[in-house]
Amino acid sequence: MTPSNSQVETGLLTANNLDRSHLDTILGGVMTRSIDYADLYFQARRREVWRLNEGQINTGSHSFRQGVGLRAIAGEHAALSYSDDISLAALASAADTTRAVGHAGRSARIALGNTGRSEASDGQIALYPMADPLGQSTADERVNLLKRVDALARAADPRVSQVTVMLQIEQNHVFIARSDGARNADARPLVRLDITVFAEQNGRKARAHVGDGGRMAFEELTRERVQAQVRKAVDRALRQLDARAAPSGPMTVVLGPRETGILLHEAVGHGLEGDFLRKGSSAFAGLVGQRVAAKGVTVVDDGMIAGSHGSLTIDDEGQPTERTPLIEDGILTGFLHDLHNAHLLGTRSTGNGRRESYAAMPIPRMTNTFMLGGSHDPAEIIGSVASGLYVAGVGGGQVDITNGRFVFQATDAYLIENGRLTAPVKGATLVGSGPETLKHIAMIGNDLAIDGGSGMCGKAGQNVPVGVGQPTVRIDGMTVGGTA
Amino acid sequence: MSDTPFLLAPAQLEDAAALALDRAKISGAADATAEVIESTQLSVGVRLGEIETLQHRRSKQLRISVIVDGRRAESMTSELTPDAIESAIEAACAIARHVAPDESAGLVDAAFLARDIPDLDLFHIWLPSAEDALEIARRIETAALDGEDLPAGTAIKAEGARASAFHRQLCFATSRGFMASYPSSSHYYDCGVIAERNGRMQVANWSRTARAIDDLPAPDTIGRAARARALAKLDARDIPTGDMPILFEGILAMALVDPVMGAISGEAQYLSDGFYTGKLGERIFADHVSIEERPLLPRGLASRAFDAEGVATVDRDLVHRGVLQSYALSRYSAQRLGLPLTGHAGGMSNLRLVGHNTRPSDTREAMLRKLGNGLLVTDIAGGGTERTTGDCSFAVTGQRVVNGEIAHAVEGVTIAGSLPDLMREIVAIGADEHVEQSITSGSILVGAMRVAGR
Repeated sequence: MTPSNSQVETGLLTANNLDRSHLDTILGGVMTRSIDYADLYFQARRREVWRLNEGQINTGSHSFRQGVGLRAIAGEHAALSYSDDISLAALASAADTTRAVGHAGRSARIALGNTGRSEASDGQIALYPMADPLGQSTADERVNLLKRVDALARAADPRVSQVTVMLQIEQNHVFIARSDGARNADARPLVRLDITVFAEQNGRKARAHVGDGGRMAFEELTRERVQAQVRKAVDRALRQLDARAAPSGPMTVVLGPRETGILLHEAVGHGLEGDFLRKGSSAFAGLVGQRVAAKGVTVVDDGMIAGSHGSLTIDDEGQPTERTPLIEDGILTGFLHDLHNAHLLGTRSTGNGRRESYAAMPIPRMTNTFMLGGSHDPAEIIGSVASGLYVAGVGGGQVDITNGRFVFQATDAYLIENGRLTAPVKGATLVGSGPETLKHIAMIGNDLAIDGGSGMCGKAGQNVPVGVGQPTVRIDGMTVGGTA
Repeated sequence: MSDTPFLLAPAQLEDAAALALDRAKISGAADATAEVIESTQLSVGVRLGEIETLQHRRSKQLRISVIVDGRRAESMTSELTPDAIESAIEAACAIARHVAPDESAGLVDAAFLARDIPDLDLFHIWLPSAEDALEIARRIETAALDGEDLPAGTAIKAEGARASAFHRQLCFATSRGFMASYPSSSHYYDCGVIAERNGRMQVANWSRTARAIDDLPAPDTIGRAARARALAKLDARDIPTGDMPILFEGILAMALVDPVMGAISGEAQYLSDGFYTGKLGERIFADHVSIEERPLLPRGLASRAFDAEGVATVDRDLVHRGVLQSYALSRYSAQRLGLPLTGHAGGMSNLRLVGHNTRPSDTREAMLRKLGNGLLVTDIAGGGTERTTGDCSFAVTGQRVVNGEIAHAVEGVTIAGSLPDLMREIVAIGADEHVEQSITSGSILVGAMRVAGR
């Protein structure tokens, strides 16, 4: 183990009067004849948040949460018991309650785990700095960053009327002990900067939000990087001042690069998560090997992108993350798996077992999901559209995985008229069908960019950070939900 | 099984809060508040008659807010030991030193704090064994899967059924001498069902939550409702783009009312950011519509005797016959705006959308007839309302209604408009009232919205 990993283990175990032999005893006690697999997930998360409002640092907060979750699996059944006391007594009590799952109906014993190295984090390529981002900067430096954002935004244009800034810095230590003997630690930094710019002109008001960050050191929020984010937020707010009503109905849509990758996250990503596949509830179940997207469309989930919000050295089951092809040249090829669903389906984990915290059950989740670049110049793609919508910025999205109906919000968009971007339009909802929409991708740009800065994904009440990415793409016939 | 869901005695919560306030004072925080919460939950999910998930949860936390020379900061810890409390306060005070002083920051004066705190009947212990909860979840699922005969080519699949018992105790204390604690409970049944026909699946969920297990409907009604809703969505298709009137089911009222509540919040006022800035005393809704807030409703899912700052809550009409009666203020926003406290720190309590023209005969069927030719919206799949302008755009599923009768299911469409305009032009509220968490509403008929389909 690297020194940092052993520090994580010491902080979570030794500091609470536990050692590995206690974990062996607890896991051994849970692994009765009816239990196939069990794991312990120790976590301690420290987070600091600063807020600037109306030109002043108006509040800040600190939080510390730690605990341990014990999970036991018997066939298709899973039990979780957790405690925010890390102690032998709490572990013993959790063991008592989780064992109960083994009594409730049984299927044949399955072998879980033992698919990765037993010390997966040994020698893993460092995807993020192990040092604590909370220890890397002073409060003054953090506060000054917020003030700089405020000053930059206000100086950018006289129409900027208000600015709010939030900085969040987090260090998340996890230690995972599995019944197959694997023991893994990870120290996960997270830095996040949220900027909201309000603009006002002749009584019209508008706002725009941008987020940036990742699993990185505080210093990586460089002057240039922050300046670019401020510029983006200001430009978007000003454009909204002039925005006219968005169009409505089916039309050709060009999605600009980077954050529009939410299309893939919703349209295909969720539908390829192994739990939905196992239950047969995904519209993509049974489509492996079939065409689900136009030729040239290749989509991957990659948990190993250095510094991205969605990256993990190991997932929350201790498996190393991977680059998993989901769609190759338009053909559906892969799914995202955690240990439990992978084994029930007779396959292996792809390192996508994630949980929000010790208090939640691991489930298959995306990491960074994106489409590989194509051959077209972005200007050529816009130039090919006689009439349509160009989407540069997006808000949240959702999907109904049973039928693939997905939705996301365009927050920064323009009309395309005769091959040129013309009037900015107000926000609108875009809808489509996962297995259908990607077949209508007509052109793929050569400008793939990954937004590893600010995405959060919610599933089954659990929120985890994710990354998305996409080159510029042209999709023929998406439904746009404006009023004009 | 013990007869309390908690591991901590109420006195232990109070001791932790008192200790936190003492230490805060020593650390230089003239004013501080402390909130200690312990919660426990047992939830059981079944799929195809067998346990899918069994979860025992117990958590506790202390949240402390300090004001040092007009500078506000907060700290939260899941450990309640004296050392952990000490560290949490140190962290908060260290942050406060870097925060700008704000003359509006402060605690609620003793005169406005809740006294004689009423018992709102919010705590009803239900401690089922895992087997008991499993049996209930099975009954929910069985009702969903084994209903009346299905039309040819139609299948019903299990998505999962769940039963959950949740208990919480809270203690809130301020350095101005307020301390109150109370326990509460919230139990739920939930069911997801997938209906399938011609290779197309539709999913629907139904859940009910109540303070007392006896207030929950029979488990099989949950399964049946989810089944009916999933079947109703089959053979959905889109419809041509155009304008038409919309009837929202009462279950969706929060999607319309929540942005309204944001726009009447104190923050939206002092930041001048929102579509109801400065509208106090003006007509913002149709004149036959009111929004009642009833924080003291016995067993109400959002009932509370005092808000997150200890201010006594009172019944009020936020909107009365279309006219905005009150903003929703915390102590800070009240101070900023020079307005009296309203007891809204931490958000809204129980809301009810009232139609003054609504008659008992305004059933769902009558509302469909009033809709005439339009769209009944039964689910909002995504989208939202822009906070500054009130422009809204939602992806929805529902039923096409022709001549007051349901014609076919609809999916893959959006509806868009201006939320403030829609609220001013509410046509009617149905008598088909539905309680969904903190809001009660009948179906809501609004004027034309732009429907984008094919």
